Amino acid sequence: MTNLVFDASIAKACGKSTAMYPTPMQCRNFLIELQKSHYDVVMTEDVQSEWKEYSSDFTKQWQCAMARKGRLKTIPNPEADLEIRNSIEPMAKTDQERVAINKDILLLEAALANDKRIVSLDENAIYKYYVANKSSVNKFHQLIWINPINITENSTEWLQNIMSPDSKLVKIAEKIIEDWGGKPQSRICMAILDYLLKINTADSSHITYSFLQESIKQSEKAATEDQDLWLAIQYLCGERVHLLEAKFELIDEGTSFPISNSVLKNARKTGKLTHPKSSKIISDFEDKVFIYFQPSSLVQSMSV
Amino acid sequence: MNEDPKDSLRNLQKLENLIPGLARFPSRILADTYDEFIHVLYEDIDTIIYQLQENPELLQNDTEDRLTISIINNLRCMGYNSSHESKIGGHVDLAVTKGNFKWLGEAKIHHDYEYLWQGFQQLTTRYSTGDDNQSDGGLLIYIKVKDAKQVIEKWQEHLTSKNLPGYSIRQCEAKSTYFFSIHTHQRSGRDFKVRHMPVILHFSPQDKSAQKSRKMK
Repeated sequence: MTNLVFDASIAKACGKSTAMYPTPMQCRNFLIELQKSHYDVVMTEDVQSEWKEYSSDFTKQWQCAMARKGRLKTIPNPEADLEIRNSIEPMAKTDQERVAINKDILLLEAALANDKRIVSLDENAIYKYYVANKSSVNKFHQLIWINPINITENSTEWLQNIMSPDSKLVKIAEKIIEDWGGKPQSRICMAILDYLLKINTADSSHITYSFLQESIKQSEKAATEDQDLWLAIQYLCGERVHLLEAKFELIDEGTSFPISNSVLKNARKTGKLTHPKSSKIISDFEDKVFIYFQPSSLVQSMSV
Repeated sequence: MNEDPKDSLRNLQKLENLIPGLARFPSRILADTYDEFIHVLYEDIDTIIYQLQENPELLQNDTEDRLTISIINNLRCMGYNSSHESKIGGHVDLAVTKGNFKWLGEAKIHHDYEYLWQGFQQLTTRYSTGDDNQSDGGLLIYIKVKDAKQVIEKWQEHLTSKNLPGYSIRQCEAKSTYFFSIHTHQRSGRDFKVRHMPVILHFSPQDKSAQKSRKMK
């Protein structure tokens, strides 16, 4: 069984079983589907008491059902993780923020000690610090933050396919971390993976280097070195994880012509490319042939 | 449509020269025959071996496995699907696959020539099928003693003395200390080509400061 570490924001968001707004409905659906899945729920002692404070008829029933099956575990508050605390605590600008961080940081510490999966809404005070430090704190690369209201597809399918420890996504993330460790390529590859899973792969058959650069800039709020990004792209195009399919196109007088690998291989051998339409010989083809990327079939199979 | 000069082949070629880890990126993508896969792989392995040889002082206590894992990790970062001890008829030291294409390597720290022969036999009679999709393999010879050239010459003589069926050798054009052996693969009955690759790791500096630091120890 895999443990999901919960915080109290979920109980608060569920509301009564009659609440028909999207957020309560999505949270309740998530809990119902979770009950049918193979995941256990873990709460720290503090979260457990907070959960009681916000509980409704629905969450009380759900909690009892999970507890009866032995799938709700209460754990003592985890030991302080100094690497995390030293990176996040100095970011507090006011005493109020410091108090909120000290309370919610337990969630990250508990998740790191328990299968590394958090279920919480993004409004949790610690979320913005987690996002801001994602690239600099190595341990954060391993965390998966699950916000039930961001799951747009069927929760059952999502829980089975995406979150399972045997899922393709989890295996790919593990390979990336194993191969790159603390190097910038770990976070770059994870950011590209996030981006590929968010976009509609059917409509994204032409992803350029600049698109990828921009998507990382948006998710990390920081620029990425060209060298680091190219090495990450090369890795993602390779057999090891194969998330990107590299393609080539000839752009001549404002028109794009796809170039097959065999044609390009021949051009590189002979130093000349035959124009696919006019049959004209292009000798400086290296300036006119461009690389672009498509999500691989593996990405398409993961985008449920 | 994309006309950003950053994405042009010309720029990629420039970057390949500037970023060592990016060398041969387009060639790796375009390699879709077995021979092309092997050709690029060997160029990539050579680059990794050059890098390993740069710091022999740090590798003196490394085991065969540790040294091979370092090569595997470098190959993986280039995008290769490479692994250690994949279960292919046993525990091969280094397996690299691309689709159906497979290249297997055995790695040995040179102690004596019979030990290298054991590695050669594991590679050719235990792990490889010798079929079209894996007609090439490699023997990585980590040499921590001096005079790698002499070690390889003696290894070549030792291998020749085994009278393998259909056996021949030829020098490697890319690296003067390497050679290829070709013999009839026991299982497939086809030619099997092994690239013998010495990794020069001897380290015994003879300058004054090195002698002084040895005395202090």
